[in-house]
Amino acid sequence: MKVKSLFVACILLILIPVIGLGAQDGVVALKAGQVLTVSGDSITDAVIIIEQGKIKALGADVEIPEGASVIDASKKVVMPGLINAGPVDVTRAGDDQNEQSSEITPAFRVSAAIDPSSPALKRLVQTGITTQHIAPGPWNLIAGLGAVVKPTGKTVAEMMLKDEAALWISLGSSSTSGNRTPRSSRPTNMYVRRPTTRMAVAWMIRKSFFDAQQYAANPPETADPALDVLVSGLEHKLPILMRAARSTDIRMALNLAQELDLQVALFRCAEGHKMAPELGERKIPVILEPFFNFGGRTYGIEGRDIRWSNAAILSQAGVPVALAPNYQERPGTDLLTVALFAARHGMSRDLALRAVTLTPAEILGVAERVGSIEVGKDADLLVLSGDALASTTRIERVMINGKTVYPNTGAK
Amino acid sequence: MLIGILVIASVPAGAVWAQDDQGVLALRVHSIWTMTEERIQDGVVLIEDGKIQAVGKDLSIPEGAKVLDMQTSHVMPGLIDVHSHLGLVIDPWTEMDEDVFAASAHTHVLDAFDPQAKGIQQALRAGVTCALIAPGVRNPIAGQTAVVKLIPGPETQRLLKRDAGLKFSMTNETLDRNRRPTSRPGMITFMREHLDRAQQHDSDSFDLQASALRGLLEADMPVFIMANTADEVSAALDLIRDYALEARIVGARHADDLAERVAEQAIPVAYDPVINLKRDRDLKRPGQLADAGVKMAFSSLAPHTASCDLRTSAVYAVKYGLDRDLALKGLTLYAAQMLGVDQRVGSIQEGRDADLVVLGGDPLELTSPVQLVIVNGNIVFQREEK
Repeated sequence: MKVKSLFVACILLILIPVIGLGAQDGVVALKAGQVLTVSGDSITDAVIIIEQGKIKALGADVEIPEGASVIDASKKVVMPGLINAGPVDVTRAGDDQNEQSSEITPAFRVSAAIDPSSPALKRLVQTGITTQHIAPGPWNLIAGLGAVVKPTGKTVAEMMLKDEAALWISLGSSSTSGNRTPRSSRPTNMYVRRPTTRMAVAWMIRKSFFDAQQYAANPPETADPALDVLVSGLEHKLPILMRAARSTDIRMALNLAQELDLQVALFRCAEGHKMAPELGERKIPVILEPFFNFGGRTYGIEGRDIRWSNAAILSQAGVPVALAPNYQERPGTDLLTVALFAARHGMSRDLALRAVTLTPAEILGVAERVGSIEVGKDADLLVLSGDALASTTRIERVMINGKTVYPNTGAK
Repeated sequence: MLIGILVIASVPAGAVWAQDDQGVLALRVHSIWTMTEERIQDGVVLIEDGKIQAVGKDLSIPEGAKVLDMQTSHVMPGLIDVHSHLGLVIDPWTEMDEDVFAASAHTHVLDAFDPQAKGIQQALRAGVTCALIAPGVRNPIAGQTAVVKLIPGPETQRLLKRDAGLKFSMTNETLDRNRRPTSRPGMITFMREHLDRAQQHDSDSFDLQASALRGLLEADMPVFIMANTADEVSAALDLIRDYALEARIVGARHADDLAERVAEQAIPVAYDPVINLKRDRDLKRPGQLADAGVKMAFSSLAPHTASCDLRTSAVYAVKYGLDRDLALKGLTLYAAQMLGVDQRVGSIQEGRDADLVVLGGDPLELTSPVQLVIVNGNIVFQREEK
């Protein structure tokens, strides 16, 4: 037994420098064949020095400090970890994403529902996502606050990059679909309530923000957490994300943003191509879901008129485009393939890569920390077997805060 | 036979909606139905910058103008639908009734209206260029309406009137719910209560319901009251009189029994699609109303009916006794007056928007096809012979 333990220990000792274990406090040097910085030009045959989870130095002529553990990816491509601004369900029970007793729940913090052992988090890491937005579900009109996390850690606090990162509002049919008119059901049912049409969706949003304006103008002695959140939105301190798939909902989002002077980004936008000039003119960022695994011309019931070139049309109109995988409905889709698909249908390669890294970081307000390979940013990196936008390329290594998290080495 | 070989062809979208400076467009036709003046025979309409620049018999056509020579055709103002639900059916949902509470004056159709909905193209091809978009009939106080041109593109090009009026409904459908009101007398009390409350409305508070109703009381905007049977029309007339409302009655299928009262109170009527009526007695009603001196226009209720072709309604009304001139004005000028947009559309005269329909023959002949539809001076539909 003793001999065996010793043997294992020896093997580990040999392996440590190779796989970069124990690099948490020490210095790691990543030798890369090509570095796609995203924020600037790509660099050939470069070295990235990682210290205390951050990128310390970067360049073709950077010297590797003595004692640094070296990761050799000199025949590989290194890019920033992917960032998904679209929602993924990582709660213990799906219902935890919505507080359905009311339609207006701005102070609902979805971070309280995150389950660090959720299998969905493992899948995120395997597909190269190192920063993930956790959003409230779609069934409430003003749904609540999303959080931005890194998908590894034993506790939510360990994972958290930014809590209360964005306020989510659902337009279209999802926020109305659960509600009923008093015709057939018992009038005492809590679901007999507004809104049941898009007209009332608009009115309830106007009403909520009007109340917030009144509240801000004459603050009462006791603070109201829900109105505080809406006031932050009005003061542009909190990004507002609106779910809007159809062109008519996108139009509503633009009208409301103008009326109430809100800074918004849109999620879904299946029919965004119909509204590209309006979105481009006002530089409204969008987060698009893929629909290439849907057969016909429709994308569920909330996108009747889809185009595969949606991302290309929007980005050519000057719209900041972020891409998101659709884990909710199709767990197999991975984000890098989504970028590949967008590039195949006319989006420029550079913008397609930006759409899964720096653009979503900017939308979520975390671009100071993540989204590109720059000195001072978090060492969230991917090592790829080849061209980032080639369909046979594999993700060979995922690093979060300078630590290799995939493939899973079994180390802490 | 002839119609059989006609092929409908839409002009490619890119060319259609562009509002570029195309110079002068001259339309030379057999007849110009101006609606305000006598019919002009062998005349010319000059269009520039989306407006009608000149109309007349012996106009000189400026050099460089694009001339459309259609000397066997008739031109009339684009048809106006005074009550429709176009663009509010967002498949698979209807977005017309927020009927959790029976009073929904705070809801506005423009928040749900989709200018790219399918029925809209259909109406445009039938020569309808402008419509009042109204919420449905399931709420006594149903919501706010808007007048739009039936083209896609930015709102500035197609929105004629944002707050065009409130819709009320007095039909049975408002009662079939598990909420107040449950009876017709209750419904009338309900409407009166809300109007009374609006009198006391303080304009600083966020109460879109009360401020919209206040708009009615101050006659800033009209009310469109859906009322069909004699008792509904009678109740509507009482409400209009008691609150001095500026009103239009919509539907009005049996309003002829009260024709004299309607005429006396000078309430214009938006008649239901005549084509949907079956009995001789019903078909004669538009003519009888007009004879009593009621100003009439036509409504489609589209897309709930297949009657977005308003012209058919007018033709039937004429067949059963409505004066031809009144039928044509009901499709255009009177409709525009009823909606408060007659300074922009509804007649062919200098300065009006160039929203026109060119027909292959007499407008009140159903065999006359729609050859050309023009909105804001742009050709948005063209029927081509092949």
